[in-house]
Amino acid sequence: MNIERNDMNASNPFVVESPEKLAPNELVDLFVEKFTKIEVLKERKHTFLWGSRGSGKSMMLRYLDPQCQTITHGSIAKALERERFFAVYCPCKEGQLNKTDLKLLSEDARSVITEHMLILNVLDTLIDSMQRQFPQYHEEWSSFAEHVINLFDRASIASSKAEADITEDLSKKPLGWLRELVAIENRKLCKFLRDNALLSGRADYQGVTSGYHDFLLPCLKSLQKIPGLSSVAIFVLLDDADRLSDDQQRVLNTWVANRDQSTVCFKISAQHNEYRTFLTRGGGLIEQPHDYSEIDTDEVYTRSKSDYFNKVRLIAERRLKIYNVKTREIKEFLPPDPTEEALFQKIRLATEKEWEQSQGPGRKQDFMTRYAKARLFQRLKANKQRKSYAGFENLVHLSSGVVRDFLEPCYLMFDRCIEKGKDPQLIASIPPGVQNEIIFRYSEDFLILRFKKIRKDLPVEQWTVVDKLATLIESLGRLFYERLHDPDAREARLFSFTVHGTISSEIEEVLNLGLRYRYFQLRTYSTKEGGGRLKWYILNRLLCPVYKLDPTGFEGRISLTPEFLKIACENPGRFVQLRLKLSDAVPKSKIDFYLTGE
Amino acid sequence: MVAEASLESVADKGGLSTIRKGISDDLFFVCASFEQRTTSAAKCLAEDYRAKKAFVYYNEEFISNRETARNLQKLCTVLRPKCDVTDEVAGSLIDPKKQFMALRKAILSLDLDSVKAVTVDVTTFNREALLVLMALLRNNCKSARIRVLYVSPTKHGEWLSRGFREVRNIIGFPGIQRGSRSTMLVVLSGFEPDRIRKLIEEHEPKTVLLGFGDPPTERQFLDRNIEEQKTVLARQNVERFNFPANGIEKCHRILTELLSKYLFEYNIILAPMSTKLSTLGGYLTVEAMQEIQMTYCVPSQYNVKNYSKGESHLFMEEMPMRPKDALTKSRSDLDFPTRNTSCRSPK
Repeated sequence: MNIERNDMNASNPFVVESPEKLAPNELVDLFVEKFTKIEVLKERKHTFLWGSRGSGKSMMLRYLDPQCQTITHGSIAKALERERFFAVYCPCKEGQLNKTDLKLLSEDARSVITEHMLILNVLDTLIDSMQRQFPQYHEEWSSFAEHVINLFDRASIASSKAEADITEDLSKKPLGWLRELVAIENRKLCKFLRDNALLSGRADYQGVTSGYHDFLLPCLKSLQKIPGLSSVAIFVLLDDADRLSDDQQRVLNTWVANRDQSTVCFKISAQHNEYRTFLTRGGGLIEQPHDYSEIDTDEVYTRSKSDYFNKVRLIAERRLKIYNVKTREIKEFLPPDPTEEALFQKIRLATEKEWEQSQGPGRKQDFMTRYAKARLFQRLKANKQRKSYAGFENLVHLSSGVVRDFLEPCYLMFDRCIEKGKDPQLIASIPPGVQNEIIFRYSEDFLILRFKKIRKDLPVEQWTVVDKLATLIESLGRLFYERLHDPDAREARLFSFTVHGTISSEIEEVLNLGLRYRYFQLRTYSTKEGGGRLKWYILNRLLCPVYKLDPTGFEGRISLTPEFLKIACENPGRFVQLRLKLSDAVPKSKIDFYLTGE
Repeated sequence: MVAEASLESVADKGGLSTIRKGISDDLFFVCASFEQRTTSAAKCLAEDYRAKKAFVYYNEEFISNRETARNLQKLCTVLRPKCDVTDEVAGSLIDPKKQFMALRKAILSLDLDSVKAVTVDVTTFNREALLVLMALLRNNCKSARIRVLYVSPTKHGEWLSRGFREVRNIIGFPGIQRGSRSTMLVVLSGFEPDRIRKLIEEHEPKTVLLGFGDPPTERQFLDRNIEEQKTVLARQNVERFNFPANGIEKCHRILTELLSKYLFEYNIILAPMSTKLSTLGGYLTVEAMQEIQMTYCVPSQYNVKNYSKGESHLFMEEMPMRPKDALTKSRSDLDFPTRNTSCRSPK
């Protein structure tokens, strides 16, 4: 079943809006600084902000925007004094910078035009922001505008200056005039792209060009002469930089390689696998930590002591407060199933007793962590009872490190309560039954409808890769289910796998597709034998309800050979059968274990 | 003014003659596709119709399809006796540069100053190729009269296309965007809501204006248009408007009136996804308002077997002449400026 959102419901505290559509005060209200690693973003370093769609990248960047910082600190002066940065939010929108017309240019021309286009974009947003924040400094802006004009080639900029004079008065509105000048240059650039494509002759470029060293850097340095900005760095926030072409990403990397962080820092957000190059235009490589720091907003660990868990709790409770919901604690608002909780407590006690009687193996807490939850699943199966995934903790686990995958199901749950006739003002908690109903469907959609969407997103020739990914997920889901429900299994709560050996490009394509669409998260870990790190693929826990798996943490990982992976991509039944046989044959001591390494 | 008639009545009156009575057209341009109606207009040409040159465009991805190959042959067979030279032009649906360069090469091979009368059968062009072709014609054959022929089908298939390859701006229509402005997506919608959803997902507009083709080329098409776009219309920040899908200039007038209100507030992106006539209405609007970008969502798969059926009406309309102030002159001997960075004009 496809769950359709009812966007008309404005009283739903879990509504997810694109950060661009939020007014600054709404954004500040909804944003929670704690546990987001925003301090790293505020440092005077170039930073890459990685994360899936919906993981909160744009929210973090938008929060640094002067309009939001002014609200947070009370005034722009206080914000600058405390934070010592002035941010310019530049989203890389589809078609705005990555224009198809650029493909018709030679490599050299494309490189120059693309850099100039990026600079004009930054400049337009910067001036807009400065106009809004510092309308009072007339003299200073006049000097700034003069300085900027002088950075351009005098002859090349002359016609644009004359044109700008017609619409704006430099002596009266220096920033307005400068913005008009940027707009005129932007028009010239786009006209060149159009003429170059459409006209029979050789198109001539009638605008100026600008680069990092000869324009952007001195321009931003001259901003430091404005009162209040003397010790302030400009943060250029480039959101969704994965939309940029390879050439454009190389331009950005070249800027990053310059390390002029006292004047300008680039904060670049992208989906990890979609940012295609770290090469500069000169062929150099930018590297972490020398050239930039990085933040990953996709979290792997979701247990109750993790930053992610606490971040989601604060976000959710902030929303309950803003929307004036009676219950202010999210754990109360999203209660677990009481019957299952009671059963689990019983099983925990029995497991504890079992350890105490035999005084082992291992530590009591580890023994209970490893077996109690698995036994709950086994008991429920024996009783033919459906596992409940209700409760705040479960829902945080299921969101697999992406805040939107927590908020969306909550939105639908709240909406379902309204559909059932409840007054939104009187909803004090979501009954476990409603939570389960929605989260099962959400999980099912992630498995079934999402694959349909992926097929639509990809050309026909890649559909076999999509089919293989679906089969691989099915194989893993079934194998992990068998493990979890086997009373004799020691590694019952398996949820991830590593690959030993060299995989074919075909299988690599399948795994990469899984990463792109978040069916897996990728981490690495050092091999026990030493000598390098192995890729470690963790299944998205949103799949737990549909495969009846345990979303709370993960223990151990299965190691798969390329041959096994190939079978997993083709035949789930055979894969499960062979893998279970193999596990039986392997001595327990050989199983690659670790205890909740979170 | 748009003229509309059934194909039978056109045939009964002796078929379509040249643009200028008794004088050959300089160019006839048509696209061969897998649809039955791809040959309809060409078959309606009068016995004495003549053109100096004919180009039959096709997308190479479809040429392995038997119907497309057969239609290409049919078109060449119909046109060869009527045209001094008939050439095939192989473009690409997937590769925008290849598509563009194929059309550009064809147009620039003509003696541009002598091209005064062009007939374009727009019926089965993919919209991207059509817009590129029209831009090339109007920018290079500036004194030419361009007559557009369009044949509407009697019925469309249950689905027209599936999946997406990419969303990209159409070459020649980059628009002029400002970083500090929000995006408005304007869609001339047809029967493909998934492609619109993809456009919304990729462009992330603040506002969407969703256009419905009213009046349509055939009455039943409007009902389906409304039905198909219900879910898109229900989304937040989506507003409805109507545009005439059955005429170029009247569609252009409506769009101009609508979009001029937003031109200095938003970065406007136009996605023509309705009839070819309204696509050209969109073309005229963007020609006059070059701030607007044209976007295209390349589908992954077409319903080749059952895209459309039959041939209902022939629409004929002449493109208005370009206003003089919109003409852009080329100063071919000037170079790229050399200070700041050294970049030469491309080639």
